[in-house]
Amino acid sequence: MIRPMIAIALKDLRLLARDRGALFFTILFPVIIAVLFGMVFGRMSTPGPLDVVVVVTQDGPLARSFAAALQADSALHVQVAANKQSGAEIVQQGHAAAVIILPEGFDDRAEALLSGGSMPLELFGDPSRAAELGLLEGKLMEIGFRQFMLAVTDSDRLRRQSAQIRRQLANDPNLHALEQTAVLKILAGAEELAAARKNEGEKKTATSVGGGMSDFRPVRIRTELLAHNQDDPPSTYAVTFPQGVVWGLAGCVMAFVTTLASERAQGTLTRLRAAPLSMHLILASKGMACVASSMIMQALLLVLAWAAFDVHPVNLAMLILAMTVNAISFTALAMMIAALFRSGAGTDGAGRALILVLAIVGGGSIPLVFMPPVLRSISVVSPFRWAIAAIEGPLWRGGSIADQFAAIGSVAIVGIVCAVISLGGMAKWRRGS
Amino acid sequence: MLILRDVRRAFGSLQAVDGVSLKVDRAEVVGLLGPNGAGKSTTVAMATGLLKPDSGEVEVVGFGNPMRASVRRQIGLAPQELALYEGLTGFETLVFFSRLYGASIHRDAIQCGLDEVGLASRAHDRVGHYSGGMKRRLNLAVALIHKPSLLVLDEPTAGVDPQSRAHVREIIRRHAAAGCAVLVTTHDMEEAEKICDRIAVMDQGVIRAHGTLAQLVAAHGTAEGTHARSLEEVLLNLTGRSLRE
Repeated sequence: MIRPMIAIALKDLRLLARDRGALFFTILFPVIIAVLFGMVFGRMSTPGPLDVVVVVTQDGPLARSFAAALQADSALHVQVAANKQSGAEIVQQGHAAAVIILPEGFDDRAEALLSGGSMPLELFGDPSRAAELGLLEGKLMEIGFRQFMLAVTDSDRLRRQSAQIRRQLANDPNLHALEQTAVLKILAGAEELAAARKNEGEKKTATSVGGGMSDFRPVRIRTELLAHNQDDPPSTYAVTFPQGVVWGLAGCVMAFVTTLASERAQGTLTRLRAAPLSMHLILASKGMACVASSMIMQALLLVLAWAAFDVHPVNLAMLILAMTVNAISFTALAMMIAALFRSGAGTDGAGRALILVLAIVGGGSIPLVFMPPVLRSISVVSPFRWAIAAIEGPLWRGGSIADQFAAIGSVAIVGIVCAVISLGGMAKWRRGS
Repeated sequence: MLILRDVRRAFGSLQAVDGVSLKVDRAEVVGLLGPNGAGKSTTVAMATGLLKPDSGEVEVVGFGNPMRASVRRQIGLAPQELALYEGLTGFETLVFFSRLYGASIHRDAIQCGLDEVGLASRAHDRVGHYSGGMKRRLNLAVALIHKPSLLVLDEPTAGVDPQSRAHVREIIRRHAAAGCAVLVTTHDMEEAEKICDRIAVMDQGVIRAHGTLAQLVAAHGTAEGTHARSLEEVLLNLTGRSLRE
């Protein structure tokens, strides 16, 4: 019993693998949709300067100067928050990539730049915007260098720092007198240079530093990722890969409907029925192929999302369950389409049109969050909407197990309804044959 | 091997088969002749278990009603359409259909099956690249691959070249000689004359006459106004000369 079923399923999968058109729509097209939409939506979300939030914890001149430098930078769009919590909320709401905190003691540490200190910064970033956080760290380092150059060309500030170094030298018993003299001469030279530049009115802001300073880090950044707000996707790819899954499911459904239609048109279905197999067994075998192709397609897409786009599932077991229920339910949908139309051409044409409309309405083209309210309410009739919800739950949305089961259950209900309708349709189909 | 007893089947108001009784013995080739719409394909569908008769009985002797899946294991069907998967190779096609019949067929046996129909050298080419004659021969090979006791061939040489036609006829005769019962429908009088042991002429759902070629020609084969005797005249005399839809 099982051997002929496997033979039919493998035959269908082999034919699918050899049909470039079907293969394109079941595998390649969903990947293109997922990646392309991910890129497009990603760009849409960061069209201009990088949004950041600045929190100045201790109000000192150097902290104010650093914050002002951030605000003056054209690559950044800075909002000021009173504390870390309110800054983090802005980030978690998706309105900024990170919150930059100038912590307690910023001025003291910044004052000691020439004696080996560095400006401390704390960065709390949106985990979904890892690439932008990398850019932001680079930008903070650049601003830090500018601040450093200001420090060494500001004679008053340099004098304060020299005094501090002189005190440290005087208190250091391990330092040889010759070494002390040498360092003091260098300091005196630097002070003279700064004073001369001040007199000449050449107090310019340096914008670059020489190669010899490449190891020097004027800014020490401690980066932490904020816990993700589950209402927002961790990245645009977390939204677009479930969309890709929808198109993949549509491709699998259409491939199944097309093979069944062509089996009827070419007479191979007659040949299958002449074999020692019941019609139910033949359809179950073909359904098995559809389920297998749907599972393979979903697995490929989600592994790609995981490996290449950093979309990690929050609940792998539930994700596998969602994929399985999707595969079975959409196979039932395919069976329903095949059962409702008597002719092969009718099944193929009407089936494609129906699937296309359902996929678009269900969020295959425009994510539900961007849909106008009217379209969003219409989308409840599309099984693709529920398929997206079933995947999104364990992929990134999280929530309670009950919530995730509810989404998966909705897909299962769609599958059961389709299966019941298809059984009725196929009974008629067999009687008429 | 195959017995049809007073089988009837209607589609709506059309009585496609109206009380057909027919017997095909082992090692015998029985031809079913008739114009389009005579009810031949419906009779074949009922004989192979694809269609349930409204009344009457169909029996594969020693096994039972072909509506039962296990009985269909004894039947090899070559439908009128070239019912093949163009994306599979000839070899894969035979492996696939042999598995459907639960047969554990060795690679060599598959190759022999292809060799029998003259396709061994094209075994690993896709069916989509075969000519019409090659497809027709593969269609026959599929019907034979599980070594059936009853072979049902619906116009097995339709639209093929004389070489393929001769080859197919030779295969049919060879299997009949080996003990296989063969029911073949055809429009080709020459084919019926060459391969059939007995012939049944069918029209409007009933069998008008049946017997050996000699019996039919003797009884119904005289052309009007001439002394010429042929199977074609038998058919025309029994089914009329008016054009059919």
